[in-house]
Amino acid sequence: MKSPLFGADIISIADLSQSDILTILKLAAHFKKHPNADNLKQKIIATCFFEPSTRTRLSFETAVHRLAGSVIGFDDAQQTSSGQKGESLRDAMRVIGSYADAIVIRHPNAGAARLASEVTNTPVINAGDGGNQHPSQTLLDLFSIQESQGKLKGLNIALVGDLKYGRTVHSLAQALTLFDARLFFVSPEALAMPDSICEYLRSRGIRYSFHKDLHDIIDKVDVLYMTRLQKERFIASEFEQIKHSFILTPELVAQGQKHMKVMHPLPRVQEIHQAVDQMPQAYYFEQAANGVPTRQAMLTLLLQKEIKV
Amino acid sequence: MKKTLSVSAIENGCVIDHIPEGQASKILHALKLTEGDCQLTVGMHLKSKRGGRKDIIKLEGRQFTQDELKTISIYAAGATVNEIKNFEVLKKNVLALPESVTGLLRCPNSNCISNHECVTSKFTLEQQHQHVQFHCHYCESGFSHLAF
Repeated sequence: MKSPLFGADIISIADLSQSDILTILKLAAHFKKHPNADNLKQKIIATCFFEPSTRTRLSFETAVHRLAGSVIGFDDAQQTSSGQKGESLRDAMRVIGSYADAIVIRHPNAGAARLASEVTNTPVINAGDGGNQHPSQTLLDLFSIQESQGKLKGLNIALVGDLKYGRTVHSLAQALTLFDARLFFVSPEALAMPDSICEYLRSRGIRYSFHKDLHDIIDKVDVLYMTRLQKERFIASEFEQIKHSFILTPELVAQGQKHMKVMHPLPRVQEIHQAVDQMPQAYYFEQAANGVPTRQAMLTLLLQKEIKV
Repeated sequence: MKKTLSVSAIENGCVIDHIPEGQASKILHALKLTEGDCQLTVGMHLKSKRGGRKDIIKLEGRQFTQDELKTISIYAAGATVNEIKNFEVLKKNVLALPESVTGLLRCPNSNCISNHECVTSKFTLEQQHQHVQFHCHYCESGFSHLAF
């Protein structure tokens, strides 16, 4: 298979075509069946985490190790000489780009990955830039949706929780415009999906509606995508009033369709009751595990011109 | 009845006419026109022959540069720029909304990398109904002109 993404960067989900996404998902399915291979043999991947991350960093590093590649990098920029001396991001990325075959970057500032991609010819993967994008999360979400439903097109998908500040739901909503989804936004009014994203969906003919209670949509959806509702965004009494509308209990899950799957980018706090973990609808741990094959696919497509699968 | 102009004519210079009402002050600010020593005449909330109200800016003794015209077009797409010589209109241009602007605006998102590194800002512009939407190349946020 010839890679359509050889030498490219993956910065924003909007940069990927439907065909690019389907190619990534197809290769991810292959790596899920055959996790150990040598596609990244003699390749060095720099994981540059300017802010902490557990799942994203470890799953990228696992992906590299499973494909026989090597990892260099850091997960606390303040402990690096570069960070302590106040080196600019552009200089740091230019230098690291000259050492490694690919850069995976997480940074607290939105647009940092885009800037990194402009100062080095080495392929860059955005592993989260401030409140902006997290394309590898979106791709593993799409992979999990496809895997659990047997298809991607024409699904009813609810996005639940903090839809205002959550970059994960913004990217996922954007990506789902390519697959003719019907979207249900379930959130408190103060944390509703931003107008800019709604305008993006409207301009692409995507149907969506707003809801203030999970009970309203639970029996209508194929996928329930939960996100963390941050308590600190509310005054205590307000949170107590609204929390029952956005917390998933086993009783609520039982009201859904049998094939419905519950997803969450993790970490969860209290928005999914632990008893839901034992139900067949719970898919969030499988989803987290899918981070590895999805990232194996991304790295392979950027670094191998011809892929033997 | 003798026809009079609300804003006096200029001999040599340029006139930006049909500026959307309320945008003249933003153009003056963006181009720092009040800080120069050229004779400047500004008309605001004038009745427009096209209907509604408009603003107008007349500048005596100099022309706008291409960069300045691009800045003006951000605030006043559809306005006309008249080049005046000896009280006559020498050239008339209608300003079109540029597809993008580079280095002219600062991103309103304080968390955008363009506000933390030495980076030239870039925005793509899109006409959405009655207003212009600005999309930052780096943080990918969208803004209306009111954000700047």
